[in-house]
Amino acid sequence: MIAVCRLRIVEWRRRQISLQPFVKLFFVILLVVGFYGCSNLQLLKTPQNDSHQWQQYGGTIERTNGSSSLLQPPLSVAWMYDASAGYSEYSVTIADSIVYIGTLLGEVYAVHAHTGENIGSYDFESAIYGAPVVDHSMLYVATANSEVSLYGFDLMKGRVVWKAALGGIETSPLLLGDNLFVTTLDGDVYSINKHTGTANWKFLTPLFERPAFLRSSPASDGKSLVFGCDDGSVFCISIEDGKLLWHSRTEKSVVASPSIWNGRVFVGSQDGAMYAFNLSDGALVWKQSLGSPIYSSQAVGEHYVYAGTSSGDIVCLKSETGEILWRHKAQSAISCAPLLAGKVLYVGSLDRSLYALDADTGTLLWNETLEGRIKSMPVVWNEFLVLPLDNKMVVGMKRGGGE
Amino acid sequence: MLTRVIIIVFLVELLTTAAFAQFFYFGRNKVQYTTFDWHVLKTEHFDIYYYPEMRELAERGASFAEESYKALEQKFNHNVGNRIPLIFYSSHLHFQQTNTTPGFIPEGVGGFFEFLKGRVVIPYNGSLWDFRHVIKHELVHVFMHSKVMRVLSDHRLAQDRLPPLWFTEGLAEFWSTDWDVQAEMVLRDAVVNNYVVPLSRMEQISGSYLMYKEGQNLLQFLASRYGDEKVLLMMENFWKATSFEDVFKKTTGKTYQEFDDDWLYWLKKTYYPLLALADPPSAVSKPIVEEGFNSKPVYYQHGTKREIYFLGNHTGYSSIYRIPFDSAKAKLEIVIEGERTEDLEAFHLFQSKLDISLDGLLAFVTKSGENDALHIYDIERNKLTQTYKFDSLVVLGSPSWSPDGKRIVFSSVDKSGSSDLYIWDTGREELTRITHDFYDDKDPAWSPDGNWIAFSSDRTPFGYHGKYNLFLLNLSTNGIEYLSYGDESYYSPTWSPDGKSLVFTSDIGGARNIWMMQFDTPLTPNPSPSGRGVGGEGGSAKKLTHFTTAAFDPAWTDSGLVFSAFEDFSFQLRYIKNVQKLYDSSNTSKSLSLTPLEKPWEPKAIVAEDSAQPPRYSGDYSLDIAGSQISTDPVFGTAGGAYLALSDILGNEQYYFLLYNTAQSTDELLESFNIAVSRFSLQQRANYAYGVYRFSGRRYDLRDPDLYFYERVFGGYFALSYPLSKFRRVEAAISVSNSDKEVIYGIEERRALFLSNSISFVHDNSLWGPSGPLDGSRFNVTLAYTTDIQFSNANYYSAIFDYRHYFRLAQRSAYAVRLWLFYNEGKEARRFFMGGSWDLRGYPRWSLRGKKLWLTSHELRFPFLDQLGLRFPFGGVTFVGLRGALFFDAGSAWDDTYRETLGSIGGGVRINLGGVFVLRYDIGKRIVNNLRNFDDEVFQQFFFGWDF
Repeated sequence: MIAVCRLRIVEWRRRQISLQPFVKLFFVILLVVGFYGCSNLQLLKTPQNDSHQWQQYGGTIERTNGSSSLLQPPLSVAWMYDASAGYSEYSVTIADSIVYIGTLLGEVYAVHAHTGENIGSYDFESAIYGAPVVDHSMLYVATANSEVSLYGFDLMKGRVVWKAALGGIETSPLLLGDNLFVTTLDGDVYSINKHTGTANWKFLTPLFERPAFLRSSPASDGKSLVFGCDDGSVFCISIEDGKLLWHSRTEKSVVASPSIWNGRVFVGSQDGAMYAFNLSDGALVWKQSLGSPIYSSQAVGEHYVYAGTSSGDIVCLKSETGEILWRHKAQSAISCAPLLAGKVLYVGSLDRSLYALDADTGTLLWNETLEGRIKSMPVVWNEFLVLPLDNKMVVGMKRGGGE
Repeated sequence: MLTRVIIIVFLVELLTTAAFAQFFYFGRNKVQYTTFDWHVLKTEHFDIYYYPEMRELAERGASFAEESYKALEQKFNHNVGNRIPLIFYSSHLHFQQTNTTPGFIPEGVGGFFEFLKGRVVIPYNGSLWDFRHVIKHELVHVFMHSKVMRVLSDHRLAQDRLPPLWFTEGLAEFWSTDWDVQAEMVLRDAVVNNYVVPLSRMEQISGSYLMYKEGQNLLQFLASRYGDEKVLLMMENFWKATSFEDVFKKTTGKTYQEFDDDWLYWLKKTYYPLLALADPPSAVSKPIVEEGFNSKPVYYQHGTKREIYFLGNHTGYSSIYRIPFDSAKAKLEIVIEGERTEDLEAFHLFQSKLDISLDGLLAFVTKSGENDALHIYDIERNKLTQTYKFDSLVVLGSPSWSPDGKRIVFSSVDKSGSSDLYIWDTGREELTRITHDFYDDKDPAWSPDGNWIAFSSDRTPFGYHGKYNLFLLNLSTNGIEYLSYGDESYYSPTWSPDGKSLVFTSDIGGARNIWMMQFDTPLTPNPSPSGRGVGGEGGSAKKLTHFTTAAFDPAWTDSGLVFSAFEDFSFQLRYIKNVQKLYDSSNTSKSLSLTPLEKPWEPKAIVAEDSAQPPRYSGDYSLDIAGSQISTDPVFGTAGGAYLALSDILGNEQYYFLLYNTAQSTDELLESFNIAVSRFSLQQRANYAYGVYRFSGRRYDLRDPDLYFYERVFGGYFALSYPLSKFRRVEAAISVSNSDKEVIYGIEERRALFLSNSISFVHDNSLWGPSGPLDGSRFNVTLAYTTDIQFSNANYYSAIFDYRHYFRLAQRSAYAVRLWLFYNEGKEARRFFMGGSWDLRGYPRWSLRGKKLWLTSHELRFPFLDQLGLRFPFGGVTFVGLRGALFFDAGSAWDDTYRETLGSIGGGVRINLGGVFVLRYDIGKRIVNNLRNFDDEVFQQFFFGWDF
């Protein structure tokens, strides 16, 4: 009897022991799935400096939307990536052959710039309007979450290393030195230490007639920060301490992000005019009516400002005087900033067409109708042009390339 | 789900077997009087459906549409990805025939956007300004819908919601038109009379015109107070919350309540000061009729009899009324009742005026079948004496007698959409067109000397912006001369009896009031050197009334003016006297400079590319609905299937497909397929349907003698419905079906090849209240015959008589009567059934069955509680419009031998929930023993369903 019991106990223990590997494996799988279900965005090698990188929206801190890469049309689609969500006008950032795509669903995707192959993704759980900022192995992401809205994400570790509760952000952060500058929907502007996520200072937009959101991304010359406001204001504050330097007015909302060039601030307003202000004191230098509301930002090159309007006009103005030099008509609204790549101006329209114009003359060099409306600005990196479409795809186009 | 399948099967069977004879429906008819030869004009963004008679109008509409599209693209920062179907009709009468929506279209509907196929359907009313406005209004809906769906899609959210109606309609008005005099009238009245509904309770007026205007005003205020950009931002933020109030708060920073505090205060600040300068009509004029909707008054005097005739709606039906004038105890009397018969189908309540000749002939217009008709009613003989219809003219309006009583001038919209003036000579029966252009000419008024016709038209350059001025048509020369010229509107000119004065209404100053001009020298029919009959360069007009809201359609009496005035959201008839004194003492005048500054306007058009042969419409089909379902039932087992419906863009041709399976095991699979395919054609006046089907499964059929059985049936049917008018129709159906029935409990099998025929006559002109009909009548008479042409297993005929009449007792009360006589006789005759809340109350639902059945119901319907509110600390609920009923029912059902007459008596309460269905509760006693005794017990029944 006792022998039988012992035998049975031994048998039971054997059974117990034999289950353990499976249990362990189960939990390992669970952990892996759980981990990768949340995030699998982890780079295997440290990103290198890239002379053509598009690190943040606008290309530079002045947000001139000019690319150091030269890319001549005609182009054809080399790859497509399905991120299954919508995109804002701020588009992608590219560094060290990796394209970082923020979506309105709150995910950041990293794909190979040459092939469109998926590298990884991370879910920040709230809509991402502004383009993510890539700085070596760090990625800075702003979301529309009304509480925690700015993240520092370590690409090598594959996780968030700091977060800041700033209120909803629907613009692109500006990286300047060790700091990030963001404008928020609550009407605040923050300077944030990029290493720790702590605030250096906060600027509260003055209420003139009514509360207003900030949906314009800030631009800088290294000393001051300029941004537009829903109430039609354009503000300039000090980088050092966030003190107001000057404030100017347009007649309707400024949702476009300003560009700084040669001591001037250029920005379009929903009143249908392009404005140029003195960066030093905000005095109006010129104002040029373009005939219909301006929702998108501009590109600025040597002596020229390029803007798109909601009536489909692509306009080139002389930066010194605002004189209209040429105009090209698209079939539908221009909702995103153009990109200047050398002497070629690339502009996307809601008519689903990508236009390439001669930046000096406005002559149409090439255009291609794609599968979705174009509401995000194109970004050129080396021989590729990357462009999110509103059919939830991101396309990589190349000169003479093909699928 | 299974119930739905059964219903679909049931509906198909409705048209196929003898069961059709036993089930019936009422309803009015949407009559396709006109055969439209549809063509398609393709522009950059639109596919425009039109018919050749209105081609020029369609091309103008195309230009308006493209112009609106470009403007809205900028406002929405968005474009519509697909081509937009625009369907135009050249008149509202044609529009009422559309199959793009199954429902009836009231006269006040100016167009609609239909979500399923993204169609925009718009009628023309004679005014190009209105046409342009409505096109843009509907396109705002298209853009808004597209934008909101895109926003939800970008955030990967279900595209299953839209902003509330006040926002969608308010936006459509706000972004399609300016704040105009009519909008101002409504808001002024609402503020001054304290019935503005705040945003936090806007659902109370959902769908009403007040909601449209409040929504427009609210958005206008929001834009001016919180920023223009907030309106678009509201849509771009739509993804941020499921409740629109939360979206509103995230966008503006204000809750509805906080916004109401700002907005309502601003409204008061804006409109209360008006009372220092103007008065509500009730404060400064005498009432004639204050209740209901009243318009287009005209005065009649014969001997000592002094009366006002007018168009009104007091009962739900529009009619011509009369009331003794200037009598303290004046009582309204219906002279000509409308909306019950084909000849007097609709009166165009606010659009077409009346006129009475010197010898007492009342001229008025109604919709009468396909087109409008001009009627003459002899007041003294109380008799309709003449009716005139004109083949080429669709809509008629505002007849005006010549002083000799032999001719009538009226405005009309023809098949092309042109709105012009015509003269009808009643003696010679000759029709003469006196204007012929695209301008909208209306409100003609024949001068007392017979030489002039004054009218209102948009034929000045200001007409491009929707402004109407006054003109004189010289009948000697057919020349048209200005009477007014300005960037404001003038309407309803009316001559004084001596011809020396003309009163009219104008919106000079921001509200529509009564003005008058006097002619210092008589008008001469011979042209002066300046080419004008009116003396001098122009005259002046003086303002007679200073109302806060509006006055319409003034008419001279022997002592003053009677007119329609808007106040407290009703159109009242009111009266002012001492007109000359008002004129002399008026401090508000307007100089009328008649020198034209610019040429009249010409609307742009987009011309079809192939002008010789415009492309004809050949059918453009798309899916309406598709779905699949699985259900299980303890008695009938499991069923699964799919259904889909297709129709063309015009809604004229519809196809339905049904496929499901009721197999309970794999070996039943093939045998248990159920398929039905039907086609419905609604394009012609005679609507028809046909189809084929195959059904197999266990059935529980109250009508069948065997009650519960397994049946396999396949066959085909053809059904026809021919409307004689909006209120009457004839229906016929024929079907052939092969039936193989196994009676489960009887273990019998029955095979038959049925041939079923039926014919019905249906009448319905009932007027519905919140829980059921309150006025009019409806009936259905059906004869049917079914025979088994192969096995002689069935052979029966059916007769159905269902009559219901509603005697109106008061505005909201009625006495309703119903009589059913149902008769089935023959082999395998079906059974009728009754019992329950819908027929013989007090008895279990459908518990009484028989091949013969009769029922009579008598019910008194009345309002019970207007409002019942329950308020808790955390919220509340409000029920409105509880209605009461007292009833008596009696009837019986039997097969061959009459059994017993059963009855019941009692009372009940009904409440309409959301306009979708009615909950009903009845309590009472049965009457048994051939109506000799009351049952001891009290019964209670709680169910849903409309009153009979």
